Amino acid sequence: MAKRILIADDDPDAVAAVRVVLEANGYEVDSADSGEQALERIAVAKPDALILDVMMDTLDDGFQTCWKIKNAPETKDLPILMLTGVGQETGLEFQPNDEFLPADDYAEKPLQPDDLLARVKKLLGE
Amino acid sequence: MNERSGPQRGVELHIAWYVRLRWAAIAGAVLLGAAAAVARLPIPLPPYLGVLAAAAAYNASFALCQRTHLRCMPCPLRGHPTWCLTGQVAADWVVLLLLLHISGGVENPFVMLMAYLAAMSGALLPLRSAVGLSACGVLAFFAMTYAEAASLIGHVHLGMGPPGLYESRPYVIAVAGGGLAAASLVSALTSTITDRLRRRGEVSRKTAEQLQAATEDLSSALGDLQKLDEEKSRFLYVAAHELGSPLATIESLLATVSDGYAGQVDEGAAVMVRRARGKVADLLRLVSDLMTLSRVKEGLEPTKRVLIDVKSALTRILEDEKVNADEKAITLSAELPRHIPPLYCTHENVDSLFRNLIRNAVRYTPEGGSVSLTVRIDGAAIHAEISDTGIGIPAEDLEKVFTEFYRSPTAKRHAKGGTGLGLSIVKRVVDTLGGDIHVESEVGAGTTFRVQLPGYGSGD
Repeated sequence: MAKRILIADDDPDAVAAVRVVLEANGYEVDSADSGEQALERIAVAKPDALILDVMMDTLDDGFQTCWKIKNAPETKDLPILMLTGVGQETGLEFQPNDEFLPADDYAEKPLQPDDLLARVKKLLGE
Repeated sequence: MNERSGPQRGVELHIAWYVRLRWAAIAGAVLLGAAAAVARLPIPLPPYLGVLAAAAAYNASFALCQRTHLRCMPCPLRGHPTWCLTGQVAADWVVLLLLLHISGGVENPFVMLMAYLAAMSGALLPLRSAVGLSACGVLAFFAMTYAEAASLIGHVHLGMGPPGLYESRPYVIAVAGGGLAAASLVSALTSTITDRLRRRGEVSRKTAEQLQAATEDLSSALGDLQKLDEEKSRFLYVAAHELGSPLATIESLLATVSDGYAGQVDEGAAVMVRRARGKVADLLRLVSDLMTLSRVKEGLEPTKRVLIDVKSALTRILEDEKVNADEKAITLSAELPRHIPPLYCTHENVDSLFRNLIRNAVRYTPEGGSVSLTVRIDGAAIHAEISDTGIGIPAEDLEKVFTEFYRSPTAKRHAKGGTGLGLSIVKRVVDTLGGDIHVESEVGAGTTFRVQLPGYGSGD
Protein backbone atom coordinates (compact mmCIF):
# COMPACT_ATOMS: atom_id res chain seq x y z
CA MET A 1 0.00 0.00 0.00
CA ALA A 2 1.28 3.41 -0.93
CA LYS A 3 2.66 5.52 1.88
CA ARG A 4 0.71 8.68 2.52
CA ILE A 5 2.56 11.99 2.79
CA LEU A 6 0.95 15.19 4.05
CA ILE A 7 2.38 18.46 2.77
CA ALA A 8 1.58 21.54 4.86
CA ASP A 9 2.46 24.74 3.05
CA ASP A 10 0.42 27.86 2.38
CA ASP A 11 1.99 28.29 -1.06
CA PRO A 12 0.02 26.00 -3.46
CA ASP A 13 2.84 26.22 -6.03
CA ALA A 14 5.31 24.92 -3.48
CA VAL A 15 2.86 22.10 -2.72
CA ALA A 16 2.59 21.31 -6.44
CA ALA A 17 6.37 21.06 -6.82
CA VAL A 18 6.62 18.53 -3.98
CA ARG A 19 3.45 16.69 -4.95
CA VAL A 20 4.53 15.97 -8.52
CA VAL A 21 7.81 14.45 -7.37
CA LEU A 22 6.27 12.30 -4.65
CA GLU A 23 3.35 11.10 -6.74
CA ALA A 24 5.68 10.12 -9.56
CA ASN A 25 7.51 7.97 -7.04
CA GLY A 26 4.40 6.16 -5.90
CA TYR A 27 3.43 8.11 -2.79
CA GLU A 28 -0.04 9.24 -1.99
CA VAL A 29 -0.04 12.98 -1.32
CA ASP A 30 -2.37 15.03 0.81
CA SER A 31 -2.01 18.74 1.46
CA ALA A 32 -2.95 21.42 3.97
CA ASP A 33 -2.47 25.17 3.75
CA SER A 34 -2.29 25.98 7.44
CA GLY A 35 -1.16 24.49 10.69
CA GLU A 36 -4.69 24.04 11.84
CA GLN A 37 -5.73 22.27 8.66
CA ALA A 38 -2.67 20.07 8.89
CA LEU A 39 -3.78 18.89 12.33
CA GLU A 40 -7.24 18.11 10.97
CA ARG A 41 -5.81 16.16 8.03
CA ILE A 42 -3.55 14.21 10.34
CA ALA A 43 -6.52 13.21 12.44
CA VAL A 44 -8.60 12.22 9.42
CA ALA A 45 -6.16 10.87 6.82
CA LYS A 46 -3.49 9.41 9.13
CA PRO A 47 -0.45 10.21 6.96
CA ASP A 48 2.82 8.31 7.30
CA ALA A 49 4.94 11.46 7.18
CA LEU A 50 4.57 15.21 7.20
CA ILE A 51 6.44 17.78 5.18
CA LEU A 52 5.93 21.00 7.08
CA ASP A 53 6.73 24.52 5.94
CA VAL A 54 8.18 26.49 8.80
CA MET A 55 6.45 29.70 7.87
CA MET A 56 2.85 29.43 6.95
CA ASP A 57 0.68 32.23 8.18
CA THR A 58 3.30 33.37 10.66
CA LEU A 59 6.65 32.08 11.71
CA ASP A 60 5.01 30.60 14.78
CA ASP A 61 2.57 28.51 12.82
CA GLY A 62 5.04 25.91 11.55
CA PHE A 63 6.80 25.68 14.89
CA GLN A 64 3.61 25.46 16.86
CA THR A 65 2.13 22.83 14.56
CA CYS A 66 5.27 20.76 14.93
CA TRP A 67 5.17 21.26 18.65
CA LYS A 68 1.55 20.20 18.92
CA ILE A 69 2.05 17.09 16.84
CA LYS A 70 5.13 16.01 18.74
CA ASN A 71 3.51 16.57 22.08
CA ALA A 72 0.21 14.83 21.49
CA PRO A 73 0.45 11.12 22.36
CA GLU A 74 -1.59 10.00 19.34
CA THR A 75 0.58 11.88 16.81
CA LYS A 76 4.00 12.08 18.41
CA ASP A 77 5.40 9.28 16.23
CA LEU A 78 4.52 11.02 12.96
CA PRO A 79 7.86 11.77 11.27
CA ILE A 80 8.21 15.41 10.26
CA LEU A 81 10.46 17.04 7.69
CA MET A 82 10.50 20.74 8.33
CA LEU A 83 11.27 23.02 5.41
CA THR A 84 12.82 26.37 6.24
CA GLY A 85 13.04 29.50 4.15
CA VAL A 86 15.89 30.60 1.94
CA GLY A 87 19.01 31.55 3.82
CA GLN A 88 17.64 30.19 7.05
CA GLU A 89 20.31 27.59 7.39
CA THR A 90 19.01 24.94 9.69
CA GLY A 91 22.22 24.83 11.60
CA LEU A 92 22.26 28.53 12.20
CA GLU A 93 18.85 29.99 12.59
CA PHE A 94 16.41 27.18 13.15
CA GLN A 95 18.55 24.66 14.87
CA PRO A 96 15.76 22.98 16.77
CA ASN A 97 15.83 23.75 20.39
CA ASP A 98 15.32 20.17 21.47
CA GLU A 99 12.94 21.09 24.16
CA PHE A 100 10.65 22.99 21.90
CA LEU A 101 10.80 21.82 18.32
CA PRO A 102 11.66 18.23 17.89
CA ALA A 103 11.12 17.80 14.13
CA ASP A 104 12.84 14.75 12.65
CA ASP A 105 14.61 16.51 9.82
CA TYR A 106 15.21 20.01 8.59
CA ALA A 107 15.95 21.20 5.08
CA GLU A 108 16.37 24.59 3.53
CA LYS A 109 14.21 25.52 0.56
CA PRO A 110 14.49 25.02 -2.37
CA LEU A 111 14.87 21.28 -2.14
CA GLN A 112 15.99 19.33 -5.22
CA PRO A 113 13.71 16.41 -6.19
CA ASP A 114 16.38 13.79 -5.51
CA ASP A 115 17.20 15.30 -2.15
CA LEU A 116 13.51 15.47 -1.28
CA LEU A 117 13.01 11.83 -2.16
CA ALA A 118 16.03 10.74 -0.18
CA ARG A 119 14.84 12.63 2.89
CA VAL A 120 11.29 11.29 2.63
CA LYS A 121 12.60 7.73 2.31
CA LYS A 122 14.76 8.22 5.36
CA LEU A 123 11.81 9.71 7.23
CA LEU A 124 9.73 6.65 6.42
CA GLY A 125 12.55 4.31 7.28
CA GLU A 126 12.62 2.89 3.75
CA MET B 1 23.79 95.31 37.74
CA ASN B 2 24.55 92.31 39.81
CA GLU B 3 24.81 89.73 37.10
CA ARG B 4 28.17 89.74 35.44
CA SER B 5 27.92 89.65 31.69
CA GLY B 6 30.82 88.42 29.57
CA PRO B 7 32.78 91.62 28.89
CA GLN B 8 32.28 92.98 32.42
CA ARG B 9 33.47 89.72 33.89
CA GLY B 10 36.51 90.16 31.63
CA VAL B 11 37.26 93.60 33.11
CA GLU B 12 37.01 92.18 36.61
CA LEU B 13 39.56 89.55 35.70
CA HIS B 14 41.78 92.40 34.45
CA ILE B 15 41.44 94.14 37.81
CA ALA B 16 42.49 90.98 39.62
CA TRP B 17 45.49 90.60 37.35
CA TYR B 18 46.43 94.27 37.74
CA VAL B 19 46.20 94.04 41.53
CA ARG B 20 48.59 91.06 41.53
CA LEU B 21 50.94 92.92 39.21
CA ARG B 22 50.92 95.94 41.54
CA TRP B 23 52.14 93.77 44.43
CA ALA B 24 55.13 92.85 42.28
CA ALA B 25 55.72 96.51 41.33
CA ILE B 26 55.61 97.60 44.99
CA ALA B 27 58.05 94.84 45.93
CA GLY B 28 60.32 95.95 43.07
CA ALA B 29 60.18 99.56 44.25
CA VAL B 30 61.09 98.49 47.82
CA LEU B 31 64.11 96.57 46.44
CA LEU B 32 65.16 99.61 44.39
CA GLY B 33 64.89 101.81 47.49
CA ALA B 34 67.07 99.33 49.38
CA ALA B 35 69.57 99.31 46.50
CA ALA B 36 69.64 103.12 46.54
CA ALA B 37 70.28 103.10 50.28
CA VAL B 38 73.13 100.60 49.85
CA ALA B 39 74.54 102.82 47.09
CA ARG B 40 74.29 105.70 49.54
CA LEU B 41 72.18 107.76 47.18
CA PRO B 42 70.64 110.70 49.01
CA ILE B 43 67.08 109.47 48.72
CA PRO B 44 65.02 110.13 51.84
CA LEU B 45 63.78 106.67 52.72
CA PRO B 46 60.91 107.47 55.12
CA PRO B 47 58.79 109.38 52.56
CA TYR B 48 59.80 106.92 49.84
CA LEU B 49 58.63 103.94 51.91
CA GLY B 50 55.62 105.95 53.09
CA VAL B 51 54.40 106.39 49.54
CA LEU B 52 54.93 102.68 48.91
CA ALA B 53 53.03 101.86 52.09
CA ALA B 54 50.13 103.99 50.86
CA ALA B 55 50.23 102.14 47.55
CA ALA B 56 50.27 98.82 49.40
CA ALA B 57 47.30 99.96 51.49
CA TYR B 58 45.11 100.87 48.54
CA ASN B 59 46.18 97.76 46.67
CA ALA B 60 45.16 95.65 49.67
CA SER B 61 41.74 97.33 49.66
CA PHE B 62 41.37 96.66 45.93
CA ALA B 63 42.33 93.03 46.49
CA LEU B 64 39.74 92.77 49.25
CA CYS B 65 37.05 94.33 47.03
CA GLN B 66 37.99 91.90 44.34
CA ARG B 67 37.74 88.87 46.56
CA THR B 68 34.40 89.88 48.07
CA HIS B 69 33.07 91.08 44.72
CA LEU B 70 32.81 94.65 45.97
CA ARG B 71 30.21 93.72 48.55
CA CYS B 72 32.17 94.56 51.67
CA MET B 73 31.62 98.30 51.48
CA PRO B 74 29.42 100.79 49.71
CA CYS B 75 31.49 101.66 46.66
CA PRO B 76 30.42 104.28 44.12
CA LEU B 77 32.30 102.35 41.46
CA ARG B 78 30.30 99.15 42.00
CA GLY B 79 29.07 97.95 38.66
CA HIS B 80 31.56 100.15 36.82
CA PRO B 81 34.75 98.11 36.72
CA THR B 82 36.20 100.21 33.88
CA TRP B 83 35.98 103.35 36.00
CA CYS B 84 37.51 101.44 38.86
CA LEU B 85 40.42 100.48 36.64
CA THR B 86 40.85 104.05 35.42
CA GLY B 87 40.96 105.20 39.03
CA GLN B 88 43.56 102.59 39.85
CA VAL B 89 45.78 103.58 36.95
CA ALA B 90 45.44 107.26 37.96
CA ALA B 91 46.44 106.38 41.53
CA ASP B 92 49.45 104.54 40.19
CA TRP B 93 50.48 107.60 38.23
CA VAL B 94 50.30 109.65 41.43
CA VAL B 95 52.43 107.08 43.26
CA LEU B 96 54.98 106.93 40.45
CA LEU B 97 55.24 110.72 40.26
CA LEU B 98 55.64 111.00 44.03
CA LEU B 99 58.33 108.31 44.04
CA LEU B 100 60.15 110.04 41.17
CA HIS B 101 59.89 113.38 42.94
CA ILE B 102 61.39 111.90 46.10
CA SER B 103 64.13 110.12 44.17
CA GLY B 104 65.56 112.83 41.98
CA GLY B 105 62.80 113.70 39.52
CA VAL B 106 64.08 114.02 36.00
CA GLU B 107 67.54 112.90 37.08
CA ASN B 108 66.20 109.44 37.99
CA PRO B 109 66.71 106.97 35.13
CA PHE B 110 63.54 105.19 36.27
CA VAL B 111 61.46 107.96 34.67
CA MET B 112 61.21 105.37 31.92
CA LEU B 113 58.80 103.52 34.14
CA MET B 114 56.22 106.01 32.90
CA ALA B 115 56.25 103.99 29.69
CA TYR B 116 55.38 100.93 31.75
CA LEU B 117 52.34 102.69 33.18
CA ALA B 118 51.39 103.94 29.71
CA ALA B 119 51.55 100.38 28.39
CA MET B 120 49.58 99.13 31.34
CA SER B 121 46.77 101.63 30.83
CA GLY B 122 46.75 100.79 27.14
CA ALA B 123 46.29 97.14 27.97
CA LEU B 124 43.57 97.76 30.53
CA LEU B 125 41.58 100.77 29.35
CA PRO B 126 39.75 101.86 26.25
CA LEU B 127 41.95 103.77 23.77
CA ARG B 128 40.85 107.29 24.69
CA SER B 129 41.09 106.88 28.45
CA ALA B 130 44.46 105.23 28.12
CA VAL B 131 46.03 107.91 25.93
CA GLY B 132 44.40 110.71 27.93
CA LEU B 133 45.59 109.33 31.24
CA SER B 134 49.12 108.77 29.97
CA ALA B 135 49.28 112.26 28.53
CA CYS B 136 48.04 113.75 31.81
CA GLY B 137 50.61 111.71 33.71
CA VAL B 138 53.50 112.89 31.57
CA LEU B 139 52.26 116.49 31.70
CA ALA B 140 52.03 116.25 35.47
CA PHE B 141 55.60 115.00 35.52
CA PHE B 142 56.57 117.95 33.37
CA ALA B 143 54.78 120.33 35.76
CA MET B 144 56.49 118.70 38.71
CA THR B 145 59.92 119.08 37.14
CA TYR B 146 59.15 122.66 36.31
CA ALA B 147 58.06 123.32 39.88
CA GLU B 148 61.31 121.74 41.11
CA ALA B 149 63.35 123.91 38.76
CA ALA B 150 61.45 126.98 39.87
CA SER B 151 62.15 125.95 43.48
CA LEU B 152 58.40 125.89 44.15
CA ILE B 153 58.93 122.42 45.59
CA GLY B 154 62.09 120.72 46.77
CA HIS B 155 64.44 118.69 44.61
CA VAL B 156 66.51 115.71 45.59
CA HIS B 157 69.81 115.89 43.78
CA LEU B 158 71.08 112.40 43.07
CA GLY B 159 74.50 113.58 41.98
CA MET B 160 74.61 111.11 39.11
CA GLY B 161 74.16 113.50 36.21
CA PRO B 162 75.56 116.98 35.74
CA PRO B 163 74.30 119.30 38.48
CA GLY B 164 71.35 121.51 37.62
CA LEU B 165 70.16 119.32 34.80
CA TYR B 166 66.59 119.66 36.01
CA GLU B 167 67.00 123.41 35.75
CA SER B 168 67.81 123.26 32.06
CA ARG B 169 64.57 124.22 30.40
CA PRO B 170 65.35 122.74 26.93
CA TYR B 171 66.31 119.44 28.55
CA VAL B 172 63.16 119.31 30.63
CA ILE B 173 60.99 120.24 27.66
CA ALA B 174 62.72 117.60 25.53
CA VAL B 175 62.24 114.91 28.20
CA ALA B 176 58.63 115.98 28.71
CA GLY B 177 57.88 116.06 24.96
CA GLY B 178 59.63 112.77 24.29
CA GLY B 179 57.96 111.20 27.29
CA LEU B 180 54.60 112.53 26.20
CA ALA B 181 54.99 111.19 22.69
CA ALA B 182 56.36 107.86 23.88
CA ALA B 183 53.72 107.39 26.57
CA SER B 184 50.85 108.29 24.23
CA LEU B 185 52.17 106.03 21.49
CA VAL B 186 52.73 103.12 23.82
CA SER B 187 49.27 103.58 25.31
CA ALA B 188 47.59 103.80 21.93
CA LEU B 189 49.52 100.84 20.58
CA THR B 190 48.88 98.53 23.52
CA SER B 191 45.25 99.56 23.64
CA THR B 192 44.79 98.80 19.95
CA ILE B 193 46.58 95.47 20.15
CA THR B 194 44.70 94.44 23.29
CA ASP B 195 41.44 95.43 21.71
CA ARG B 196 42.21 93.41 18.65
CA LEU B 197 43.18 90.43 20.77
CA ARG B 198 40.00 90.81 22.78
CA ARG B 199 37.92 90.85 19.64
CA ARG B 200 39.75 87.86 18.31
CA GLY B 201 39.11 86.08 21.62
CA GLU B 202 35.45 86.94 21.26
CA VAL B 203 35.43 85.48 17.78
CA SER B 204 37.10 82.27 18.88
CA ARG B 205 34.71 82.01 21.84
CA LYS B 206 31.78 82.32 19.45
CA THR B 207 33.39 79.83 17.10
CA ALA B 208 33.83 77.41 19.98
CA GLU B 209 30.16 77.82 20.86
CA GLN B 210 29.13 77.19 17.29
CA LEU B 211 31.41 74.18 17.18
CA GLN B 212 29.83 72.84 20.37
CA ALA B 213 26.34 73.28 18.92
CA ALA B 214 27.40 71.63 15.67
CA THR B 215 28.88 68.70 17.60
CA GLU B 216 25.62 68.22 19.48
CA ASP B 217 23.64 68.34 16.25
CA LEU B 218 25.99 65.81 14.70
CA SER B 219 25.79 63.35 17.56
CA SER B 220 22.00 63.47 17.57
CA ALA B 221 22.05 62.98 13.80
CA LEU B 222 24.36 60.01 14.35
CA GLY B 223 21.88 58.49 16.77
CA ASP B 224 19.09 58.93 14.24
CA LEU B 225 21.24 57.36 11.56
CA GLN B 226 22.04 54.35 13.73
CA LYS B 227 18.35 53.84 14.41
CA LEU B 228 17.63 54.18 10.73
CA ASP B 229 20.38 51.69 10.00
CA GLU B 230 18.83 49.18 12.39
CA GLU B 231 15.46 49.63 10.78
CA LYS B 232 17.07 49.20 7.42
CA SER B 233 18.66 45.89 8.44
CA ARG B 234 15.34 44.66 9.71
CA PHE B 235 13.64 45.76 6.52
CA LEU B 236 16.38 44.10 4.51
CA TYR B 237 15.83 40.87 6.37
CA VAL B 238 12.08 40.94 5.84
CA ALA B 239 12.39 41.94 2.19
CA ALA B 240 14.96 39.23 1.51
CA HIS B 241 12.72 36.75 3.21
CA GLU B 242 9.70 37.79 1.15
CA LEU B 243 11.73 37.47 -2.02
CA GLY B 244 13.21 34.15 -1.02
CA SER B 245 9.97 32.17 -0.60
CA PRO B 246 8.60 32.57 -4.15
CA LEU B 247 12.10 32.16 -5.59
CA ALA B 248 12.47 28.86 -3.79
CA THR B 249 9.12 27.73 -5.14
CA ILE B 250 10.10 28.77 -8.68
CA GLU B 251 13.29 26.77 -8.37
CA SER B 252 11.41 23.72 -7.03
CA LEU B 253 8.92 23.90 -9.90
CA LEU B 254 11.66 24.31 -12.52
CA ALA B 255 13.56 21.42 -10.95
CA THR B 256 10.55 19.14 -11.41
CA VAL B 257 10.48 20.18 -15.10
CA SER B 258 14.20 19.54 -15.54
CA ASP B 259 13.97 16.17 -13.84
CA GLY B 260 11.08 15.13 -16.07
CA TYR B 261 8.36 15.06 -13.44
CA ALA B 262 6.23 17.40 -15.54
CA GLY B 263 6.35 15.27 -18.64
CA GLN B 264 8.76 14.84 -21.52
CA VAL B 265 10.89 17.95 -22.14
CA ASP B 266 12.57 18.35 -25.52
CA GLU B 267 16.18 19.45 -25.82
CA GLY B 268 15.44 23.13 -26.65
CA ALA B 269 13.03 23.60 -23.74
CA ALA B 270 15.46 21.89 -21.35
CA VAL B 271 18.17 24.39 -22.27
CA MET B 272 15.86 27.30 -21.59
CA VAL B 273 14.76 25.85 -18.25
CA ARG B 274 18.40 25.33 -17.32
CA ARG B 275 19.11 28.98 -18.13
CA ALA B 276 16.16 30.09 -16.05
CA ARG B 277 17.34 27.94 -13.15
CA GLY B 278 20.77 29.48 -13.42
CA LYS B 279 19.27 32.91 -12.97
CA VAL B 280 17.07 31.76 -10.10
CA ALA B 281 20.11 30.23 -8.43
CA ASP B 282 21.92 33.59 -8.71
CA LEU B 283 18.99 35.35 -7.10
CA LEU B 284 18.72 32.76 -4.36
CA ARG B 285 22.38 33.21 -3.51
CA LEU B 286 21.84 36.95 -3.37
CA VAL B 287 18.84 36.57 -1.06
CA SER B 288 20.74 34.18 1.13
CA ASP B 289 23.67 36.59 1.38
CA LEU B 290 21.36 39.47 2.18
CA MET B 291 19.79 37.51 4.98
CA THR B 292 23.12 36.48 6.41
CA LEU B 293 24.26 40.08 6.21
CA SER B 294 21.24 41.52 7.96
CA ARG B 295 21.37 38.77 10.55
CA VAL B 296 25.02 39.39 11.30
CA LYS B 297 24.30 43.09 11.55
CA GLU B 298 21.55 42.57 14.05
CA GLY B 299 23.69 40.13 15.97
CA LEU B 300 20.81 37.70 15.98
CA GLU B 301 21.73 34.12 16.39
CA PRO B 302 18.62 32.89 18.12
CA THR B 303 19.84 29.47 19.12
CA LYS B 304 23.22 30.37 20.47
CA ARG B 305 23.49 30.91 24.18
CA VAL B 306 25.01 34.29 24.85
CA LEU B 307 24.77 37.08 27.38
CA ILE B 308 21.54 38.78 26.41
CA ASP B 309 20.94 42.46 26.91
CA VAL B 310 17.50 42.03 28.45
CA LYS B 311 16.60 45.68 28.29
CA SER B 312 17.07 46.08 24.57
CA ALA B 313 15.34 42.73 23.99
CA LEU B 314 12.35 43.93 26.03
CA THR B 315 12.32 47.25 24.23
CA ARG B 316 12.23 45.45 20.90
CA ILE B 317 9.45 43.10 22.00
CA LEU B 318 7.39 45.97 23.39
CA GLU B 319 7.82 47.85 20.14
CA ASP B 320 6.60 44.85 18.15
CA GLU B 321 3.68 44.02 20.42
CA LYS B 322 2.54 47.62 20.55
CA VAL B 323 1.15 47.12 17.06
CA ASN B 324 -1.27 44.46 18.32
CA ALA B 325 -2.14 46.52 21.36
CA ASP B 326 -2.82 49.61 19.26
CA GLU B 327 -5.20 47.64 17.10
CA LYS B 328 -7.37 47.00 20.15
CA ALA B 329 -6.78 50.46 21.65
CA ILE B 330 -5.02 48.80 24.57
CA THR B 331 -2.48 50.89 26.46
CA LEU B 332 0.79 48.95 26.59
CA SER B 333 3.10 50.53 29.15
CA ALA B 334 6.46 49.52 30.56
CA GLU B 335 8.47 50.48 33.57
CA LEU B 336 12.04 49.34 33.14
CA PRO B 337 14.94 50.12 35.45
CA ARG B 338 17.90 51.96 34.01
CA HIS B 339 19.97 48.82 33.98
CA ILE B 340 18.94 45.18 33.77
CA PRO B 341 21.49 42.40 34.40
CA PRO B 342 22.06 40.23 31.34
CA LEU B 343 20.72 36.70 31.03
CA TYR B 344 22.88 33.89 29.76
CA CYS B 345 20.56 32.16 27.35
CA THR B 346 19.45 32.26 23.74
CA HIS B 347 17.76 35.17 22.02
CA GLU B 348 14.88 32.81 21.41
CA ASN B 349 14.51 32.12 25.14
CA VAL B 350 14.10 35.75 26.11
CA ASP B 351 11.97 36.44 23.09
CA SER B 352 9.50 33.60 23.57
CA LEU B 353 9.30 34.19 27.32
CA PHE B 354 8.33 37.85 27.25
CA ARG B 355 6.68 37.94 23.87
CA ASN B 356 4.27 35.18 24.84
CA LEU B 357 3.39 36.80 28.14
CA ILE B 358 2.79 40.22 26.61
CA ARG B 359 1.01 38.84 23.58
CA ASN B 360 -1.26 36.73 25.79
CA ALA B 361 -2.05 39.71 27.99
CA VAL B 362 -3.01 41.77 24.95
CA ARG B 363 -4.97 38.88 23.44
CA TYR B 364 -7.11 38.33 26.51
CA THR B 365 -7.72 41.97 27.32
CA PRO B 366 -10.82 43.61 25.90
CA GLU B 367 -10.58 46.76 23.79
CA GLY B 368 -9.55 49.90 25.60
CA GLY B 369 -7.90 48.03 28.47
CA SER B 370 -4.30 48.22 29.57
CA VAL B 371 -1.29 45.94 29.78
CA SER B 372 1.81 46.83 31.74
CA LEU B 373 5.26 45.38 32.11
CA THR B 374 7.20 46.28 35.23
CA VAL B 375 10.75 45.11 35.79
CA ARG B 376 12.55 45.36 39.12
CA ILE B 377 16.10 44.42 39.97
CA ASP B 378 17.17 42.68 43.14
CA GLY B 379 20.89 42.09 43.04
CA ALA B 380 21.40 40.08 39.87
CA ALA B 381 17.83 38.75 39.96
CA ILE B 382 15.22 40.10 37.60
CA HIS B 383 11.61 40.44 38.76
CA ALA B 384 9.19 41.03 35.92
CA GLU B 385 5.51 41.62 36.31
CA ILE B 386 3.06 41.51 33.42
CA SER B 387 -0.37 42.81 34.38
CA ASP B 388 -3.48 43.21 32.32
CA THR B 389 -7.05 44.37 32.80
CA GLY B 390 -8.25 41.36 30.86
CA ILE B 391 -10.88 38.67 31.20
CA GLY B 392 -8.98 36.90 33.95
CA ILE B 393 -8.57 33.19 34.64
CA PRO B 394 -11.05 31.27 36.82
CA ALA B 395 -9.48 30.06 40.06
CA GLU B 396 -10.02 26.40 39.18
CA ASP B 397 -8.03 26.89 35.96
CA LEU B 398 -5.06 28.74 37.41
CA GLU B 399 -3.07 25.56 38.00
CA LYS B 400 -3.54 24.36 34.47
CA VAL B 401 -2.56 27.45 32.49
CA PHE B 402 1.02 26.24 32.14
CA THR B 403 -0.09 22.88 30.80
CA GLU B 404 0.45 22.34 27.10
CA PHE B 405 -2.59 22.79 24.90
CA TYR B 406 -4.69 23.90 27.80
CA ARG B 407 -6.97 26.83 27.10
CA SER B 408 -9.59 27.76 29.62
CA PRO B 409 -13.18 27.91 28.34
CA THR B 410 -13.20 31.68 28.95
CA ALA B 411 -10.05 32.03 26.89
CA LYS B 412 -11.55 30.01 24.06
CA ARG B 413 -14.66 32.13 24.09
CA HIS B 414 -12.68 35.35 24.08
CA ALA B 415 -10.06 34.78 21.43
CA LYS B 416 -9.75 32.42 18.54
CA GLY B 417 -6.46 31.21 17.21
CA GLY B 418 -4.74 30.68 20.54
CA THR B 419 -2.70 27.50 20.50
CA GLY B 420 -2.56 26.85 24.20
CA LEU B 421 1.18 26.62 23.85
CA GLY B 422 2.32 30.11 24.75
CA LEU B 423 2.29 29.74 28.51
CA SER B 424 3.77 26.24 28.44
CA ILE B 425 6.65 27.64 26.41
CA VAL B 426 6.97 30.44 28.95
CA LYS B 427 7.06 27.91 31.78
CA ARG B 428 9.73 25.86 30.03
CA VAL B 429 11.91 28.89 29.44
CA VAL B 430 11.55 30.01 33.04
CA ASP B 431 12.49 26.50 34.20
CA THR B 432 15.43 26.38 31.82
CA LEU B 433 16.70 29.65 33.23
CA GLY B 434 16.28 28.43 36.80
CA GLY B 435 13.58 30.98 37.53
CA ASP B 436 10.10 30.96 38.91
CA ILE B 437 6.69 32.05 37.63
CA HIS B 438 3.45 32.74 39.46
CA VAL B 439 0.07 33.85 38.30
CA GLU B 440 -2.65 35.77 40.09
CA SER B 441 -5.97 36.46 38.52
CA GLU B 442 -9.49 37.64 39.11
CA VAL B 443 -12.17 36.91 36.57
CA GLY B 444 -13.25 40.09 34.88
CA ALA B 445 -10.58 42.20 36.58
CA GLY B 446 -7.31 41.02 35.12
CA THR B 447 -4.30 38.78 35.45
CA THR B 448 -0.77 39.31 36.73
CA PHE B 449 2.15 37.06 35.90
CA ARG B 450 5.22 37.39 38.13
CA VAL B 451 8.47 36.07 36.75
CA GLN B 452 11.70 35.84 38.70
CA LEU B 453 14.91 35.15 36.86
CA PRO B 454 18.39 34.85 38.30
CA GLY B 455 20.66 37.30 36.42
CA TYR B 456 23.39 35.71 34.30
CA GLY B 457 20.90 32.83 33.91
CA SER B 458 21.98 29.76 35.78
CA GLY B 459 20.40 27.33 33.32
CA ASP B 460 23.28 25.15 32.23
